[in-house]
Amino acid sequence: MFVFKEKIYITAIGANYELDTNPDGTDRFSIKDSPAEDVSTSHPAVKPYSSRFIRMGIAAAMECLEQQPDVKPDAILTATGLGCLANTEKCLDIMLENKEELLDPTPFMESSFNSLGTQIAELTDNPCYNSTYVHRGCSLASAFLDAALLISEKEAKHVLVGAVDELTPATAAIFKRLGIWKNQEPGEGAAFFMLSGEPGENQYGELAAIDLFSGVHPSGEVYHLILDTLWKNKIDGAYIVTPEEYKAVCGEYFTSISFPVWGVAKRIQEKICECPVVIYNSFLENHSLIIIKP
Amino acid sequence: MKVFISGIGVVSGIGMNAEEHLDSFRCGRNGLGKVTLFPTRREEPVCEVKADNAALKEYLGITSREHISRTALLGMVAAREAFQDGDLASLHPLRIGLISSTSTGGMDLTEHFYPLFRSDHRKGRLRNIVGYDPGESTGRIASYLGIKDFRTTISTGCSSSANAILMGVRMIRQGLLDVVVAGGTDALSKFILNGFASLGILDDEPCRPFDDSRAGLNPGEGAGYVVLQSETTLFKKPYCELAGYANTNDVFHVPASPETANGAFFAMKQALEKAGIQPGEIDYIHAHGTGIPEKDASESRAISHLFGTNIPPFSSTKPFIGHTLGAAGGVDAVLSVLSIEKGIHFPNLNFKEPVAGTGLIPVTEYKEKLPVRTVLSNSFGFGGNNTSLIFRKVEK
Repeated sequence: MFVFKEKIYITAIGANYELDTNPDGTDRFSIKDSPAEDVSTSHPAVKPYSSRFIRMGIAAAMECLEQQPDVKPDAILTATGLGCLANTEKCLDIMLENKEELLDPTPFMESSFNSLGTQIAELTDNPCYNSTYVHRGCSLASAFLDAALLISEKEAKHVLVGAVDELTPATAAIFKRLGIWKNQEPGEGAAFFMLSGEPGENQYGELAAIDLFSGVHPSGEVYHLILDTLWKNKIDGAYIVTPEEYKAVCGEYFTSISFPVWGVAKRIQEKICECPVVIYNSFLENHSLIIIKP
Repeated sequence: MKVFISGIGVVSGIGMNAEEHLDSFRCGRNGLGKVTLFPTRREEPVCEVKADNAALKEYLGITSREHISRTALLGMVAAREAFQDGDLASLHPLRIGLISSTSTGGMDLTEHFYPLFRSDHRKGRLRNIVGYDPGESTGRIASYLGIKDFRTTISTGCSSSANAILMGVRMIRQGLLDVVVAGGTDALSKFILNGFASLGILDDEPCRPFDDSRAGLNPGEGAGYVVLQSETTLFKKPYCELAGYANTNDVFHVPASPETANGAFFAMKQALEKAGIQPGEIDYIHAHGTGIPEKDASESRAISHLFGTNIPPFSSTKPFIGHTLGAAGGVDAVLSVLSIEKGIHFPNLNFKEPVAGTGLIPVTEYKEKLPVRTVLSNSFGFGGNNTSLIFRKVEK
């Protein structure tokens, strides 16, 4: 478990998730309509040929950045499990249909896993440190770790960190055949966060600790680890968010942990959540823990 | 805290390990040839590792029935060499992590799955698609070597493995880990070959980095890993120190004017600042130099801008090994370590005339036993992500 001595504040958020209210006044999370192929619903900065993955990511990133227009991040970090799948499929389709001739560079250009990160850099005219983590269920935790490290090293005051994963018909079909959708529905989503070494106008909480590990670890073992960490670091009264709890809303995808992180940050900012929260993700033998304090 | 390199491992079209690479360089033997790994219409030269997957599995002591992507296999070969070279099996209970990287992941197997799947979603063997993502090869390497404390994967195109090394250094400096096996791997695939062809950046001749007639790159494959270790845990003399590092991202792909300082310039400059050294202290630059016309020009401008009239000896080894994509930074790191260890300037093959307007002439002859104390290694992705690493000899 990596516990941060320095304060790591969450000073802005942006996502394609929405917090609604049920008729009885209780909370209800929902996913905003993704800006699919309709250019008019995308952020104006998005290139007209950009894939849905990029549009989702840019929309969430810009929403986060626009909360603090005077803040230019010192680093841009992105996380994804499967990257720009639709573009990769398009490239493969063209290659097969045209028998390796008359190839189209457009989908290929955006198919690399870090294309979102580099496009955010270009859109915001920011040549800062820029990296992308693609390690399954640990992708976002890895990116958060890098961000926290930058702030601890005093290499960055503000770091933009985000996660995007898209659901394509191909992914849904493959995961269904693999039996992945036994417990959860397929999902997708985009969320961005600004992590800062000093508090901002909006207080979305603090990143207290992160852990990421692989292998077969029964949930009992993980909860023991969580309780041990909370005890050792004197974090009292923490609420543990289980994967089952949030995946019932956002569905299953490699970076699904971004959804509860966003939700918790929002609730902290609205003073609905006033206790530390431990968010746990487990998917295909990759486990992440993110602890956020108000 | 200083971070040192205590192990190296590399595989590419010119060798299965570091010693074989040196042998190839000494003999002037490049690894270019036509594609043999998969059926293709394309005839441009590529640089394949001279072992098919069955041979790689045998080399690794894995049963041939195990279904593993070539990217993972190449990674296991190089990471194992680095692991053994660093004597990591004896380092328990130190905290050992793996930071790997790849730009194509398991695409070599995906290409067997997709043609069947696309017309009928019930078709295609699942074992060919489960390893699609970059994280898969990292998991395979970590399991193979028994690395349990930490693992993650970076994917930033051609700067991937240099960024993995950069992150490894930082994690050690901040006391999160004691040892990190860091680098990357990439296998050749039809997807990448055609992807590059669609961008018009393949050369149908052997590439000529920094030459006026350069016309593009030759795709390669391979893997390169270094063992990074904190100074407090060293128990034998390390190869050298990883003294400086920096990463930037271009905000436009092609610089606006020849005089404009670009992302490559800032990556090198910031790496020097991190190492606390002046440009004049660099003895050799292991350049990125892919042969892509604009990118070589951009790197040349950045070098001229930074070093002025005192350009150190520099070269690209891609005419020997092709462009190993995400693995390039890791492979170049291993070669940079060898450069310091044995005093090597690697030759930049196929050079005749400098890039117009630069006058820059790379090293063209292999030499050893030269005084090489600091090496600057560049990995400048054509997507605009730039990483520079600085290696420094350990003074007694």
